[in-house]
Amino acid sequence: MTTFTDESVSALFDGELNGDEKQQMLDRLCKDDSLRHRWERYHLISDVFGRQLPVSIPADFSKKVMQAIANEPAIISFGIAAPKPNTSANSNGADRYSGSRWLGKVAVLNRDMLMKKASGAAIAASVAAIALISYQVGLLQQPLLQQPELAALSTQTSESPMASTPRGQMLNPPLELLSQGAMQASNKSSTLIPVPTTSVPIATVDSPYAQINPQLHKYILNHNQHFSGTRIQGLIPYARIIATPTPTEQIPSTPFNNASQLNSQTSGQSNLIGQQ
Amino acid sequence: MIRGGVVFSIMLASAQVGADSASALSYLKQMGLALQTLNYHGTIVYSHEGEVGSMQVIHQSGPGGEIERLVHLSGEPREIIRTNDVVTCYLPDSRSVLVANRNLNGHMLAKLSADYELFSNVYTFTVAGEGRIAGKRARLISVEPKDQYRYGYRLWLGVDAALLLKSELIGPRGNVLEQFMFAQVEIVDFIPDAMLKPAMSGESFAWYRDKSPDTGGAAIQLAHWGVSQLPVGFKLTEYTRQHMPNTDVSTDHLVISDGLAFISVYIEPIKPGSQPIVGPLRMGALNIHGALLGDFQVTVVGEVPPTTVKMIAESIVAPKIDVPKLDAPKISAPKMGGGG
Repeated sequence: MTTFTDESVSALFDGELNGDEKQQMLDRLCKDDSLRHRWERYHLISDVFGRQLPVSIPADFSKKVMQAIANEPAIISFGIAAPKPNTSANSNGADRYSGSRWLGKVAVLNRDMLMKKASGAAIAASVAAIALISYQVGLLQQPLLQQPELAALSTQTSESPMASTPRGQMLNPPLELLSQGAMQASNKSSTLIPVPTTSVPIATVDSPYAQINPQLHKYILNHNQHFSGTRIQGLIPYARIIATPTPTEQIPSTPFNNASQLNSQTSGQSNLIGQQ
Repeated sequence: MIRGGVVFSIMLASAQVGADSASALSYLKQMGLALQTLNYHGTIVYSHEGEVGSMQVIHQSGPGGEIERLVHLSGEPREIIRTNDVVTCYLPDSRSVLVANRNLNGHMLAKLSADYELFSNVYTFTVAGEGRIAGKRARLISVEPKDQYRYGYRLWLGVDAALLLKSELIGPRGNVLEQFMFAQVEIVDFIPDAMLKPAMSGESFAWYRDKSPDTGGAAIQLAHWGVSQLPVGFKLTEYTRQHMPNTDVSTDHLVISDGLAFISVYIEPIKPGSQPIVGPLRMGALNIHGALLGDFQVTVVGEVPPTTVKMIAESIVAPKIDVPKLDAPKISAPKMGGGG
């Protein structure tokens, strides 16, 4: 494991690192605040000399970005596991929903952008790593409570906070701040790293959701199956289920469970219509 | 005098609004009926998150009930066949078949009827115009949320037969989050059986189906989670305890709805070694928020904005246990199940 020193950061900045070293350094930059600050300073210095400095950059710009990113939902997508670092946003991917192709549609700051010279704050966001998960859902629901009991369990707020906020206002103030900050800075300098203009947040490589949680997907599938037909859009939740790729390997938990499922397969189908 | 005139015209205006909403709702009701009772087949194009795909839809309504089949046309030939309330998903890319029962509560639109009052403080229904979809004349119904806790819809219904021809899920800034549209559709008298059979038998696939619910122990019946804060118009409409496959653990499933938007809350004991779900997540039109509450994992999922799922996830309250604590450990002790 390489030790990351100031020299490594400047080597990265000067484009002197290659392959694995470069990759490791970029990973490190994303994680390490102090290294990132150093990165920012190098860019700042470079731009001062290159006369590309904007009039003022908020000192905590990158912190605001991080905060805004943290406040935004991370996106789950389905695709092939973590795209290689040299996969650019416009890779044509494969004929299925590959993660890299999906990323092309989202304003994602990938490592190549970090490498570009930029003034001011370097934004530590990285390409989302995407993994496939399996669906394991099969639930027979037995309603447990009747209506009056249900009512007792929830508290209706007569007026929800922010209910009076006009609809047109932003849902996500941090992101507005973010883009305003970027706008100001970009007015003065054309080389700022573009801030994502969509409200689409970015799951970082280190985020726990980079690997999609199988439990979470159980929930998503159950939710879609549960409500199909009861909503205005009828079959649309079903469509969502088949529109998203499933992994090439299911995750049966234990050989025992798998075997029992396979064994019961032949008798299963005839029971289906009989189920309530 | 002037005041009377103003009041009168306001009344007229609101009566007009009421009439508009009533007709919008009645069109939606017709649509619900059409979706359930007509025989039709066609091709749907959908887009979300910038991805575009297509699928074939076949629907038959007969004396035995409904059969519906959706076949994914772009990429893997996944398909879903629903026979009344049993849903079978064929997933060739994972070589699996999932069988589940869908919600038994019937078509929501049947309940719309004169329930405008139910929705009026949270949604505005209007007949917003006409268009042409799949070569057919279509009527645009706009469903606009009154606050930022829910999404809106734009629905195009056929004028001649009130089939849903196009549907858009609209986000808070008027952006389209998800879109489904018939590129071509035919209403027919008769659907041949062959069109309703799956393209694959699934014989060599792994089948996953409903497990029987966990009925063990009186203790299971007793503890019910609640929600302390809900946005206007939302209420808890369903509470089930389910048994997730491959584990011994029961999951509580709360359904929260405002009549149009549905949110699921899943609460289950944290499995040792499992990855916690915390914070906001999004998958297409679905927003998700996870939270850990003591020994439990709370996950809220719904086609609503992130603020809504977050509010709910953060206001789940622990169950009230009505019996001696003797039984309580049965619920909270994580079992060593299959550990998916």
